[in-house]
Amino acid sequence: MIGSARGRLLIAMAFLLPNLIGFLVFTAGPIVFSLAMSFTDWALTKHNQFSDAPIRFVGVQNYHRLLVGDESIFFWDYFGNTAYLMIGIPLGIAGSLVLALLLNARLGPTAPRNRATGAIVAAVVGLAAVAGAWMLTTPGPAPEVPVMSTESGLTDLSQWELARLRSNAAVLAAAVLTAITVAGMAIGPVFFRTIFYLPSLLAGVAMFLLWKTLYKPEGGLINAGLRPVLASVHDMVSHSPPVMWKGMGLGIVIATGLLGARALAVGAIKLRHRDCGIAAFLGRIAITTLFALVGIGVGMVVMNLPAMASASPDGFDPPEWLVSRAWAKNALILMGVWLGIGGGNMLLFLAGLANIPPELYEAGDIDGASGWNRFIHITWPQLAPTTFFIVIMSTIGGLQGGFEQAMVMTQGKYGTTVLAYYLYNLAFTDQFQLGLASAVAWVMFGMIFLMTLFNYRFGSQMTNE
Amino acid sequence: MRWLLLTLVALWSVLTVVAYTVILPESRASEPVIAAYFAVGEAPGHPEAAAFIEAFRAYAAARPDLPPLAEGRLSSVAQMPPADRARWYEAFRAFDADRPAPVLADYPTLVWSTDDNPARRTQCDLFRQWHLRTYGTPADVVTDPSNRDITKTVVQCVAGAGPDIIEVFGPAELGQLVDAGVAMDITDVARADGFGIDTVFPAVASSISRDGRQYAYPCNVGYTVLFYHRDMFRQAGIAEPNESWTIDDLIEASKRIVGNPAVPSNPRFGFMNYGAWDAALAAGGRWFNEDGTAPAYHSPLTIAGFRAYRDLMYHHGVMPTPAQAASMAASGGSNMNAGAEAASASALFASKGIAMTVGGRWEYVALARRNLDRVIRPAAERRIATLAPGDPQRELLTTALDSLTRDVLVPISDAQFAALEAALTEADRDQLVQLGVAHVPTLTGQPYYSVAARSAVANRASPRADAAARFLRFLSSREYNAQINSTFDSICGVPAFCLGEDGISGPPHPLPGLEAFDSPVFAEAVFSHAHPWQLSPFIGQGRLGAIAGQVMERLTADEITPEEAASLIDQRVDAQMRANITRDAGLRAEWERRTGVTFDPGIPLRDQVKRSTAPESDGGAP
Repeated sequence: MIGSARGRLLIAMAFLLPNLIGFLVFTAGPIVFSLAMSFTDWALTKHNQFSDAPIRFVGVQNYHRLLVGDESIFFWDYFGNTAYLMIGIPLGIAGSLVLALLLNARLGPTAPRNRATGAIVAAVVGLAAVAGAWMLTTPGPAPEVPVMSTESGLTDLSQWELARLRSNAAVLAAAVLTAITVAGMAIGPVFFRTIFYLPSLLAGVAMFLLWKTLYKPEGGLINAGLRPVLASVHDMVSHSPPVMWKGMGLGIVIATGLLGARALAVGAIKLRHRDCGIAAFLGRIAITTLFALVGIGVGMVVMNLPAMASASPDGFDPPEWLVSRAWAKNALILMGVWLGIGGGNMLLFLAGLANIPPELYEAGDIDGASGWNRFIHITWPQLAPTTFFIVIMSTIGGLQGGFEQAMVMTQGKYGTTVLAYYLYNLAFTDQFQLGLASAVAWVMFGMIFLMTLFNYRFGSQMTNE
Repeated sequence: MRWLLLTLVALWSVLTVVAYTVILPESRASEPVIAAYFAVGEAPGHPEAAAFIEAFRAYAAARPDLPPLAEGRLSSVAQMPPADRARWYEAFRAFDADRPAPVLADYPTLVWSTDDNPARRTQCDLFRQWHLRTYGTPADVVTDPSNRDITKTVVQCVAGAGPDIIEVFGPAELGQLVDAGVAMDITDVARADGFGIDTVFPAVASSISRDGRQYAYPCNVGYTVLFYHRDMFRQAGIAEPNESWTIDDLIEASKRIVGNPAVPSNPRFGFMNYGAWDAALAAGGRWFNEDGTAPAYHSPLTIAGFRAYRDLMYHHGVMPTPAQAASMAASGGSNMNAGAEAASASALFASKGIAMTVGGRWEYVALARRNLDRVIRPAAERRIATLAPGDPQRELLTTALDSLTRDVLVPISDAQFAALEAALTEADRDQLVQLGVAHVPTLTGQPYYSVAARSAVANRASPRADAAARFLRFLSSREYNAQINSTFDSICGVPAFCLGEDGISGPPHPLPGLEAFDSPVFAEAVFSHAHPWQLSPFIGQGRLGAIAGQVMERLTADEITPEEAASLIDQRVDAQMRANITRDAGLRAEWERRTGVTFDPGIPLRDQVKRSTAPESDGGAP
């Protein structure tokens, strides 16, 4: 022990102060200040150094405007958008878990010699594929007088330039796949972990711009891939009896219903026998409902395929993704799921998996547990604290998020304005209403706080079970 | 390794210090001003500048070490090699430093929040020269392209760190600056110096003034006319558009061009880049009543415009839906703001993917580059290859190509132009964009243009506010406006400079295929058919956009009818205006002053206004 208690305190404070001052000035101060602002009518255009008008205390007027007043039409609309976009959170978490399980498994050869052999074979096959792609797709010499392409989405390119562009894309795709396979063979799962984590290292805006290009309804890679699939489906539906599709759709709906009912019945029995708590039962209901909705939706689509095919004799149109009210939010969800699968959640699950004692699996093996039973009775319960943490953080992130996507990809159009983007617009583009924007921030805080309390109340119960 | 890293850090530090002390010394900042002295050397314009330049000439004459001037003209310094030019600049600095009151010691340097491009740099040069000629003393201006966003500018200005001259687009942005108290009131100085509101196009008066007070001056005027491919009309056997063209004529022409085997470029759509608001205004619709005290969206004329817009896409299929337009955008096409859609339409028009679009004069550069790169240069190079060295035609073609490759806006001689034209074969001409220009068709056949100005505002809190006001005066000068016209930067804001040698039909001669950029349609549009933006002081433009945007998304997706769209916007704007008036005592007083009735927050404004003695708005509810 060095020096007196007072001296030790002073030394500790000296170390803590820089961080504490930074926290007070740049975090706590602005938080308190924004709370105060939310009870005022402060608008930067009206209350500044050029104006004598005083900032007025307006009590809870800003909150009233947001929740039931003239702003409520916007606020609740954007809250609905925010909540809808959060549908992707459980999908992303599930994807992260699956990916972590895959990357945790021993994939591919482990002996160095076998790895080297695998890499060499992959390299040879890959190079052959690259050469094949190059030979098959490279256009001949450019014509002297260029013939312009009329294909939309890729403007002011000649047909030859377009063919060359496609050839380059094909060769590039083959080369990238080859490189990944060879490296994966040579290095092993660590390489794939790195690859899957890479998107998290890239700046959000860069990713969003990339996805924006992928989502282009015409000229975008996603629809370019979907078109032949949809054409095949259309062809298949058009040349088969409608009753077959109706039967298939009905079958999917009934099967989904039965599976859902079974899941609920099992849950009810477990609850009755105290094999699970109320929280687990509620979770089971939520997941079953989601599963049933998806299944019933798919079944309905399958049932309606013949009618859809006859209504579109030229083929099914692929989605218009970011430029339609029907698809824009779903497009953002899909992108969010992709971004979420390989990010920090995957790492947390991998860390959680690494911490599961191997004796538990050994005991399971001795008892003859199948892979599924090992997952359900060992892995999943052992991962509960990790899952709980991820759910909490993802929920908070979901309520706060969506700003960059709205700003970069859609500018808030087609139902993609979320609360964070709304807050920004109020504060900086719509008359600089700082007071009202602060109120939005605090309402968001309240929602996040309540949601987190709910998660703690029921989630921690599930974790303890 | 550690020593290597330390050495690298030390080297980096030294280089940084050297860069700031030697490579970028303060004295270099005065080069543009010295260049301005040299540029006005033969015609200083102001006695003070003339005396200064004369004294410098005498000083330079005693310096035999200086490189000789071409024909004794100081302006020839600009054409000298950099090393020679530097010696003249150094001589100027030495001469100035010995004077009792050096001009380079203290002159205002204005910061102008605008984009940085060759045209702006030329405008900055013109300002320095104009200031010398007009006031006899130097002044500098530099652009600040990273602070153009109006949001950022307002925040900077109220924090006391804004630019001296702020670029604003239209009355809404000007309103933000005026509301924030940032914009300097220049009414009196503008009137005294002859650049008042009465010197600009009446339709852009609202872009530079508010409540009769002037806060800005136009940099240029923005509006778009109908662009069409003349070759497509010829190939389809259709007469080209004229002034009385209507929407029906446009639909008919589009249907005859698209899918016509006689039109080899096979455009996908007939028309593009036309909005519901354009259609409604052109149909005679209004957003607000005359004094802006009540919304007027729900009128038969507005609805007719909305319907025409919807039918162009969904009934006639001659115009892409916003989703289709976005999907055709080269930029990824999901954030179809006006700029993105216009850029997409321009690119598609240039590649002959659409027969008609609406566009502005600023599109000359893109179209000229396209014609140059795709057709004119290859044709000229083929021609050059057939000509013997020393052939005058070869020389003309080579110099013309060199000049145009550097900058398509640099004027070429008539002989060079003729040589380029002669190099084009019939097959080449078919590949050219052969532009036609006409008035944008309307439902009524009466052209209608809603115009606004890109203008400049002087920052009231600027320590150089006086010089900033002089810059605004410069925007009314012949030099500036001639430059706007000659660089196809839309059209200048001063009617007196729009026509004649300095006007929009003056030099440079547009490249082959683009002669229509000299069309009188551009001038007619702004002289005869221009109208100001419709605004109301009782609702902000941002909020108006949010309300209308929500509804228009549903109209453009064909989810609601034009009647429902007009009614919804009207109701929501009315509710928002009432909420604003209820909250703000000042707004309430202003509303009551304008209408003459006592405001009642529970009754729609349209109904309240009907009780007033103020003039009624248009059509009324259907």
